[in-house]
Amino acid sequence: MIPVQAYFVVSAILFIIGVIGAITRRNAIVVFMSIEMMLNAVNLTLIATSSYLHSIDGVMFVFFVMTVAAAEAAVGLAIFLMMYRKKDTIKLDEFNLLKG
Amino acid sequence: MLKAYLPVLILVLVAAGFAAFAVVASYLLGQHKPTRVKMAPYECGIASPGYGRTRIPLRYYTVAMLFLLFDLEVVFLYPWAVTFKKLGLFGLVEMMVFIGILLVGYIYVWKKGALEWD
Amino acid sequence: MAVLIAKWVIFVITSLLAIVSSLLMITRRNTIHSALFMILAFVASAILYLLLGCQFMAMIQIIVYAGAVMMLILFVIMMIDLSKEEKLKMKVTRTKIAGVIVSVLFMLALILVMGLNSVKGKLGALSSIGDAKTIGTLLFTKYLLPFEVASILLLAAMVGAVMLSKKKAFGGEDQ
Repeated sequence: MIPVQAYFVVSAILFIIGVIGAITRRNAIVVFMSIEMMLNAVNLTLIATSSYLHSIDGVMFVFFVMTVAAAEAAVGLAIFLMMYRKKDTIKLDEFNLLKG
Repeated sequence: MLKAYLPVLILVLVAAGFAAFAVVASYLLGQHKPTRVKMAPYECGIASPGYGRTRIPLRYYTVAMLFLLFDLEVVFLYPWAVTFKKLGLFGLVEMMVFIGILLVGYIYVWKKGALEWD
Repeated sequence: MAVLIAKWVIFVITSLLAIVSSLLMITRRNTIHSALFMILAFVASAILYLLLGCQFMAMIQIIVYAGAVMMLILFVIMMIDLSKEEKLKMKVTRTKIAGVIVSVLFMLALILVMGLNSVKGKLGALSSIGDAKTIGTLLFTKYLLPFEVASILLLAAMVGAVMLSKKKAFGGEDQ
């Protein structure tokens, strides 16, 4: 049996790669994909825990996380398209209306 | 359990090997006399107009978005279909409520004219 | 024993594939290349789900994430002229450097804490968590309310996305 910690280490690395992508990139779509990567890493943790505890609750969580991620993709990408219509770019530095 | 996926692994390896073989063999065996016309991307024989990454119209977004959401609905249908006999009438009513709520969204999209293609 | 070694080999290969392709995803300049590496990372995690004995979620991962969500992202990439974004140089600011340092430290902390402690808890009764039948039984009994709420979430997403992308908001013309 592969120890559950091995899966935890992999998902921690994937999560941090997603965080670094979301912090450093300026292209809105790449930032969005990095956030999806973070969700994916959390899903891996949930499924690993669920599999090692012989319990199904984690799997159910993953199911609903995927639903939320898909709804988020539909609305979020529509927002990017609107931003592109307004400013003709999706460079994130351009969107600073809420900056104090 | 994992043994059941051995055929899938073999299929993936065969597919990757076939694709790699086709590319490598044509590189090794074929003649290389590139001209400008030969290097152009092939587009059913006629001269290709414009730049390869032209933008597609934004109105296709609605269709892609609806595909994503109804794809999720189908994903929820799989476990329902497997346990349908066990759940009986109760399961049927549950699923009809689910589909009914999504149908409201579909009617909204339809009435809003997002599917019109004038 | 042979099965265990095979499992470790598959685990190491797929985790390296997932990590390398997600690193490539955040570093590629070309957005389409990023999206394709993202699909590779998702497929690699689907294989990890299979290793954990969760076939159903592996298939859903490929259908929903690697299929539908990435299809939508690729559509949007093709709708937007990204040549300006792709020419951008990385702007290195002090905030970004600090953020990267903090997140790497956080990763080390996570690995230390999660790698040294095993999962503790009462073992459940299920021997297989992966098949659609187990998931279906629980989804329509214990998780009934979240299931119905998910449909309302999907309805809200549909209405919101159509409101944002309807023709009037985009102006008359398309290109």
